[in-house]
Amino acid sequence: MRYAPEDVAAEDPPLVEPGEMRAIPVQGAGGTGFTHFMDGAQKSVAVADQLGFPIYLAHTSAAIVERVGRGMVAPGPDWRMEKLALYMPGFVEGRAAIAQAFDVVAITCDPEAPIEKVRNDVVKRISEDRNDQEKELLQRFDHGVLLTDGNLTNAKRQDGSYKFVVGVVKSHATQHFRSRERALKVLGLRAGERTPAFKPKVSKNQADVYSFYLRLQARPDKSSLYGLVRVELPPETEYLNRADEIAGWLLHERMPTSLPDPRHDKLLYPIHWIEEYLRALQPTDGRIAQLLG
Amino acid sequence: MQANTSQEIGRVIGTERKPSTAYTFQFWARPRERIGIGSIVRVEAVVDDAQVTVYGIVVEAFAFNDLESPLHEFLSMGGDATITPPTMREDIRMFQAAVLRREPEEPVGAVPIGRVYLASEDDVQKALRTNEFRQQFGIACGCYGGKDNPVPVHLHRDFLLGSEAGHLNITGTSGLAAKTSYILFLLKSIFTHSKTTPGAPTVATLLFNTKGGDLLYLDKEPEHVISPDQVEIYHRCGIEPTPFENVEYYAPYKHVANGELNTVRFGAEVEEGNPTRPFAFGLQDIMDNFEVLVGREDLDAKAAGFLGYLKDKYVLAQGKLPGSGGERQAKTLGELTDIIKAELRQADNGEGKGVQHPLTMRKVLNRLTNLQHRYSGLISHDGKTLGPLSKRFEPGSVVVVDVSQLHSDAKDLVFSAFISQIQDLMEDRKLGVDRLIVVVDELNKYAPSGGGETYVLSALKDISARGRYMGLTLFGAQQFRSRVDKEVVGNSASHAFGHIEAEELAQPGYSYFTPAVKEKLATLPTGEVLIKHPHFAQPIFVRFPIPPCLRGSDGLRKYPRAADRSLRELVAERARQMRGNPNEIADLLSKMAEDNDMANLLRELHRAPVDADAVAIIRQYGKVSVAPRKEPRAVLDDDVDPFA
Repeated sequence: MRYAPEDVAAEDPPLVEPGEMRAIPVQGAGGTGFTHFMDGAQKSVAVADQLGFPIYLAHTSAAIVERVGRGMVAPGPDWRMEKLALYMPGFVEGRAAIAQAFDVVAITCDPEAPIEKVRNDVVKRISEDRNDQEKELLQRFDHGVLLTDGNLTNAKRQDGSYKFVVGVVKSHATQHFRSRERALKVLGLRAGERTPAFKPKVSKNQADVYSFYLRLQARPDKSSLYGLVRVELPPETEYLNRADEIAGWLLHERMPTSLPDPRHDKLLYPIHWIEEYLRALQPTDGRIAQLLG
Repeated sequence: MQANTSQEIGRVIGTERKPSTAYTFQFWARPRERIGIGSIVRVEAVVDDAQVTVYGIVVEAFAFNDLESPLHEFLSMGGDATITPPTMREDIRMFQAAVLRREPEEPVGAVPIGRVYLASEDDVQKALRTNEFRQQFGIACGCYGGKDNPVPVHLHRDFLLGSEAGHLNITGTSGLAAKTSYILFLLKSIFTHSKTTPGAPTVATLLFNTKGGDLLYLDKEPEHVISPDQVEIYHRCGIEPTPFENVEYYAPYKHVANGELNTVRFGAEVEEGNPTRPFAFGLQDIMDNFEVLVGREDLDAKAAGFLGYLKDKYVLAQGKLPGSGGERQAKTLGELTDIIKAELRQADNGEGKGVQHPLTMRKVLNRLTNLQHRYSGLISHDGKTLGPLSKRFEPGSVVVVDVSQLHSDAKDLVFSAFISQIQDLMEDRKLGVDRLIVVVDELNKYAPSGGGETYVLSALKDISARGRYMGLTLFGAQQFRSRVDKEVVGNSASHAFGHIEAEELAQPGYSYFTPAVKEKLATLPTGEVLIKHPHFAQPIFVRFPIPPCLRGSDGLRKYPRAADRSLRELVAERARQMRGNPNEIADLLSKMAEDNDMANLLRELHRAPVDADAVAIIRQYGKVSVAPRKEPRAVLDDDVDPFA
């Protein structure tokens, strides 16, 4: 995360909670209200090049998992999606012998485009399929309180409403606060502290949300991003009023840790559980080799 | 578990590190499944379009979660053990199973990765192959499974009683393993099978009551409550939970001169309709078991030679005494000692050539004389053998020899003599039944490993090796199997293991059990045993019920031993148990003089069957002559008419 050399506070997203940008100690981390959790996964293997163009065998999956008592319950077919398919440029489909053995996703590409561009198009489509699976599940979700890995773009309904969904973004590819003062406030959060909620600037494809930064863990020997997550809430007053409560839930979800996963500082255990679950659905390398003959 | 439906519980796991083999496999199961060590499962898989079914028994259990290091869990909780995280770590229950059977039998390949089901009743019978022999040859040995649905398990008759294989050996900690209870249950099952199965061999059993009153009330109704679970086991095994029928009890005399029996099963109430009978050894028994009587180390070659000489010359035949002593045959121990004295006099006088050196003869004389005092209640006063082996065994009969009141050496004598006599009966095919089951407890003592070759050990080895061909089956029990002669144990085809101490389980003989099975054996509750049988590819845990007869402790409390009584009282009590008019018996006894040989009369009453005429015996042996009836003395003058 970088901050601008000059004060550019005017470009920072507006705060939607009263008061200045500051560190707010989260109260009430003694329980959690989350009942469901969601994540998606994908695994792709380049299996062959047809005339130099890429063909991928990819497995995409997503699941919403309910927690009953303290146990995660493997989802039934309604709450689990997976797909195994060959992803290839549409213009090579008819010429690829391997296409006979699998479902094929033919991607519309320009045959004259550079190979790297075609490859990126194919890989992007795999991610889009996984995203679609997540979206379908999120749209289907109709009861309980859901915590999803990532932003809430897929959770917004056609009519603009949300169910009770909270997103946790682990990566910080987008720097929302560029002013030095506010960026330092974010980076200076201590474990168990959050920022006031703000309304991030979003692209046209993204949904309007409220968000705040939360420090789940802190260690002096780690970077300033260690344990720092950005939480997304539906842009409704009800969620804003409960921001502290929801932050408390997330702090409570720090246990158990998802060690030995290297992202354990930000990866909450129920999300880790789903990752492991979805990984179990993916074909192993041996199985892929067997499928490919 | 339902009778004939299977519940799917998990999947076989085969990893590169821990693959399935031809004889073992692993599977996971949901934590809530009621499965553990000893559970039987069925694996279903399709291999090359062919259905493959594998039956296995759980021999090890594992559980682990997604932790890589204990430190992770510590860090996870911040070192605070009181914290309850909102999500439980995922964990898995994994089991290792040993293959019991596969269908088809060939090829014997690795267990396929398939679906795992909890075994139904049909599955259990197929897995143990009891479905192939249960109807005709099955002897129920207990029930597999939980209390909600016990599944009977059967042993193959010909592999338990002979002649295909034979003998049973049971190991268990004294007081905890209920070895006696299990043997009684098995005997009950064997008798039921013998009675209800067409073509089944006739069976009788001989048991030694070595301590307390465990086996002295087998024909009495129990005072303890047989719980519905246990009644259900009886029911599933096809056995009526009723006391044993046709039980005979034998006990030695307290002293040969005293007709009182040396047993706690004593008294009109407990003996009603089934009095305890005496047993005693005759001269020939003593000669045959002299080694036991005097101790092996005390019987050197010279003494043994002299005994052999005496037996051949004076016991089995009529021999001529040295000098001008005439011909003599010894029928009692006293007569034999007289003969030895005569031989000794001859040797001391230097008349003729002595058979043995006088010192050897004196030694034998000394030992024989001591026997009369040391084993006074066991040695017959007239030299004749008395007891159950003097007649053939009846089918369905249970013979209990009570030696609980004897000292250790006397028990050895009884045991040794019975075993040798049974061995003789076996050789002569005079047992009277197709199969005689001899129950021997404390094999540690009678057939120890690493000890010298005693007469008893030799007989037990012979019975264990050849008995199954000749109708004699050994049910041996011990606390320490590792300390029993390997030949005796090894010749047993069937084995039962109750609660066993960890020290014993550490012996090499138990190495074929997995650690989990050993752990279970070390904590096995009373009423459960592990059964190893030739028809079972792996040992099976089964439950068995409490015996349907009066427990020893209850019997001793219910029938306390009466205070010592006079010989006259003993005779009267014994006679009342027999046939005859009680008033007449009382009348006869009241007329007997005090100097009548009451001890002799009591022995004769004991010797006679229960339905014998007591009056006749009293008249004959009590030497009671009933005087002619005297006319009542006239109290009035004849010429005085009282009614006038």
